[in-house]
Amino acid sequence: MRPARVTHLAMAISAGFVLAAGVFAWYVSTPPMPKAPMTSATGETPAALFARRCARCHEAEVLAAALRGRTERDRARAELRAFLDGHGHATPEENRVLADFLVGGGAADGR
Amino acid sequence: MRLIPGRAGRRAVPFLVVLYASVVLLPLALAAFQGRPAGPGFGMAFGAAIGLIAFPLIAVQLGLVARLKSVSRMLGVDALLQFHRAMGCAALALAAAHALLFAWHGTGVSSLSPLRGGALTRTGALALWLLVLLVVTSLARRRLRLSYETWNLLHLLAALGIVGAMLAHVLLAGGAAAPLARGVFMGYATAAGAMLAWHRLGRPALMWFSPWVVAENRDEGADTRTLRVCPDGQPGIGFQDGQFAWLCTARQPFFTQQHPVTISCSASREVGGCLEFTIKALGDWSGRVVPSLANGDRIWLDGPYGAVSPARFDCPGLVLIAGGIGISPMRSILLTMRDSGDRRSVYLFYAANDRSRTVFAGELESLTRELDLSLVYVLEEPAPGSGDESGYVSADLMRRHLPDDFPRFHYFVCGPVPMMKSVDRQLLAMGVPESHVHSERFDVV
Repeated sequence: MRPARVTHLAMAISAGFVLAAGVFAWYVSTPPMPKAPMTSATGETPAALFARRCARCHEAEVLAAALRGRTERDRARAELRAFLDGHGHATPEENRVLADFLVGGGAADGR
Repeated sequence: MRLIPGRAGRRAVPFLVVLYASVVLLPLALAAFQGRPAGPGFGMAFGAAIGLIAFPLIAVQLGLVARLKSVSRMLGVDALLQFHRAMGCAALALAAAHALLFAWHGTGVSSLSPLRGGALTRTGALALWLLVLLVVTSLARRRLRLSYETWNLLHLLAALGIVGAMLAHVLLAGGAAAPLARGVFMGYATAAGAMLAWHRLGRPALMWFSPWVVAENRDEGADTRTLRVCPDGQPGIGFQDGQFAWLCTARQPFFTQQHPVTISCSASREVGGCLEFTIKALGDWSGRVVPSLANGDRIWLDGPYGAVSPARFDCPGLVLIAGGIGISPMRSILLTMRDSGDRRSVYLFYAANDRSRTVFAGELESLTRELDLSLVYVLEEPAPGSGDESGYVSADLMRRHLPDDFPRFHYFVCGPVPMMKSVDRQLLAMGVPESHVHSERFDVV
């Protein structure tokens, strides 16, 4: 193999290694995409849970739109969760998931 | 000295490159599959990734120079040595970047000292500084006035220290906490150790059990001698014209310098016969040790190495371009052509200062009658009226002597590096295909 070829090959391989290191670093330093929270009991998505528990009387988009203006998200979530607990149609765990779903915007973007 | 990378070797390059990259990137791939660790920033993650590449890269370095015949036959020994040297520099750059990124992002500048901090940073810093020592002494051996033997010993000890310190560093870092990762890193270190043991102990042991004796030490003039060596109670070796062997003239072949020398006799002979090596006085060994060798002295030989014979190239003719002692492999090619009945056209351009600095003049003259050989001396100081060419081997000069179908010929170049570079450029400029030009260099350190 010609000397110039060997040098070029070594430089190309080294550049490839640095690129691989960069891709690895980008991969491990980028947080994974958040997944839609799942109910621990049934494994349903929040949207499915809403459909089963709430959709007969409520529309998710309407509720989400009503909550969209609230700036204190944690407080809104806590209030909604307390309301749902008092509503008595779902378990406390399901109420937590539904509150996160409606306040967190999941209902608005369809997840 | 040179040998000729074969066509099969050229085809194998992509496969070998992929294999090499896969071996080096395996720990990084395993780390990626282990999942995302919580919260490292890009800088730290990049530093860790570079470290995960540097470790196997350095371990594999030992394999490149372990004289693995299967690999050297495909690529050529000089290409392997050159690649080893280039990737050694790359490994140093990666290891230094790894250390600097960690120092910048948290461990501090003190972590670059092998004398401060905990075991983790000490082992890493030790490996880094040994690597600096190894690379600097290799790149600047002559400037530092290090003898080859001293450099060789330093290189060996530094390599051992680097692999050991790196292994400890990786295991302490916790990156190898998983059994699989731990096994992989131990595997790299073990393989590197095995390569080193084979190269430094196993191969010399084979040489020890296959001794050769000097049968003749002939003065060829022009500070050049031809050593004729014969097998001493062992079957000897077969070889092809253009191949070379490593010679060791010390009392034993362990941890002593070995010299790559082209075999200069005909390859068309019985396997197990005597060999000839033509050596010009260029340094301590060739200038003092070689002339002092007497008949009956025992020497050690590792070889042959090199690729293929010109006989394998299907071409109308050969062009041999020799400078100084570069005539040695050309002699082997010409004698082999004569003995094997190869009657293709062959042109020999033999460059030297003047006729007194050339060797084998009578033999070459007689070969012009036995072969379809055109012999052209290219001398810096030709004698008036001698008919020799004056100056250097140039494109114009070659065109004057070669037939019109010269691009179909294969070209073999051997001589001083500046001459080889110059001839190489001119051949390509003349339109000779790159695959038809064959040369090899050994002055890596």
